[in-house]
Amino acid sequence: MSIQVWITDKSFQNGVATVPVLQNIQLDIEEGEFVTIIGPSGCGKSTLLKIIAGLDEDYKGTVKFNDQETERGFIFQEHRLFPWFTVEENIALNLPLKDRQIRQKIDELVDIVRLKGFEKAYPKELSGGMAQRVAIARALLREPKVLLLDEPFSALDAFTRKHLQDVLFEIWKSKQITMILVTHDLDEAVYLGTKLVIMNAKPGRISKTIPVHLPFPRQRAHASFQEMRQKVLEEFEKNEASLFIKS
Amino acid sequence: MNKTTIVANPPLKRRAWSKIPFQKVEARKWISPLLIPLVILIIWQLFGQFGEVSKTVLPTPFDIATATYKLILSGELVMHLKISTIRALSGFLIGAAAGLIAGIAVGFSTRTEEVLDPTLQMLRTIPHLAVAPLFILWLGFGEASKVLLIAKGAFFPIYVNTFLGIRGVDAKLFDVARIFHFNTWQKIKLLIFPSALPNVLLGIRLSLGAAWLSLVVAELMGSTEGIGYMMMDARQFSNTDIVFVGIILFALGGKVTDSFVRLLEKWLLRWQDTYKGTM
Repeated sequence: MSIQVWITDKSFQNGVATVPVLQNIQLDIEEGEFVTIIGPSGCGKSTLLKIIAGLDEDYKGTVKFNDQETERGFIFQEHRLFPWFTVEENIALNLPLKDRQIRQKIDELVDIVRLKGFEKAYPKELSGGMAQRVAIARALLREPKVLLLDEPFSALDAFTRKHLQDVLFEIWKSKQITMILVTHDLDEAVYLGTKLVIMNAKPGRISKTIPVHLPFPRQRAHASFQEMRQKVLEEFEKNEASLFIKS
Repeated sequence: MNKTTIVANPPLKRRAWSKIPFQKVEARKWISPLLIPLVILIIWQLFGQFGEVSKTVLPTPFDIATATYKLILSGELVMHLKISTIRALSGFLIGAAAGLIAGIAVGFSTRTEEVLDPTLQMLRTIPHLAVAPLFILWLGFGEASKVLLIAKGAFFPIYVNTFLGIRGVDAKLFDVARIFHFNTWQKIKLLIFPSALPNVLLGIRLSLGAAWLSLVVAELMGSTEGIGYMMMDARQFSNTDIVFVGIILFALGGKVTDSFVRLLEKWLLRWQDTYKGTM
């Protein structure tokens, strides 16, 4: 499983004006990679992710999967659970909850995202972090080969975010899913990524791709981590976009 | 074990009642809505008994109760109530079903909306009293004209609200449906229908109310049985107490059906996260 993204042009129509969002994006993703895409707001990173997911088909270029039937999972910035369904119904959605195999898989996933005891709860009874974990379980049930994540932890508090980053890391390690994570959190990008894609705004393009060879699990306080972080930051400063990054 | 422990919030309690023991809360819940009617009844009774008001103008609550009792004994009340209920219910079912179907059809397709909605909106504003004579002219004084009038009343609230509900589905959830390859039926069953349900139920409530109102118009226009007829008949003989019995029956009937739908709402919409009124 590998993905070849080649987008020559993607623009939005703003009244009569055409605003370019993405230009000349070329990105190759290998199986099992954890790609983190980072860039200032408005650089089109979310749009890029939606194009890869197949949610946006209005662009010039191609997105090639070597297997066209590749199952893609998507985690949105907000949990996007169906408020009228319980946790387990939300995970199952259009798959039969009564099917024994699916039931068993859901129970496993509920265990993995640590939501035991909340199977029958409604989304309104969950905290933001719990809801996002349900969304992760929902995506994993379909056994995606690629999981696309659009700033999935940005609305959460620092502790919950760190916890969910570890949950995600465990899933990536154990299930060998290719991950593409869009974020504006520099630490998150360096903490999880095996390949870091730095994007530039106006119009959105890739300014640099940096492979990260640090061993897992990574230590944020470690000198090599800080060194990598510095390297990415320098790249941003070169782009005169450092203003957008909170560190 | 969990690195961070996250606990779900317990459901909100009504804070205003929190200082009162449980049984008293239950009692207050029943007494509160009865308070104003009770006070009015007492003043009314005293006013009628000691004031110089003719019984044909304003019978006392006691007179009305006596009249009710007599009507029950003679079997008239049950007979009239039965025929009125059948009329209201059949008119409601026909109107609500048509309204639901039209609302769904218009909600799902902009093309149907363009063709159908303007006409329906025009018809919606025509008052009952304007079309009732036409219905009678076409269908006679029988049941058909009455049921049709009630159906007309019940049609529009559910039509408008079903349409609104379907168009109010969160577009963001359609992205989810797309990612997980929902087919058309799954989109309807898992996403559109549950999302539109609060509006549909509101439409049903309003339609039931409209059905009762239309029933009164239909029966007052001309009939030989039913609560409306009973009232017309009593008015001609100046039996004002029986007129009041009719009014009370309509009020009670409306309230009972409304409570039933609200109970249904409470059960079907238990997932809703809305303000429950704590001030």
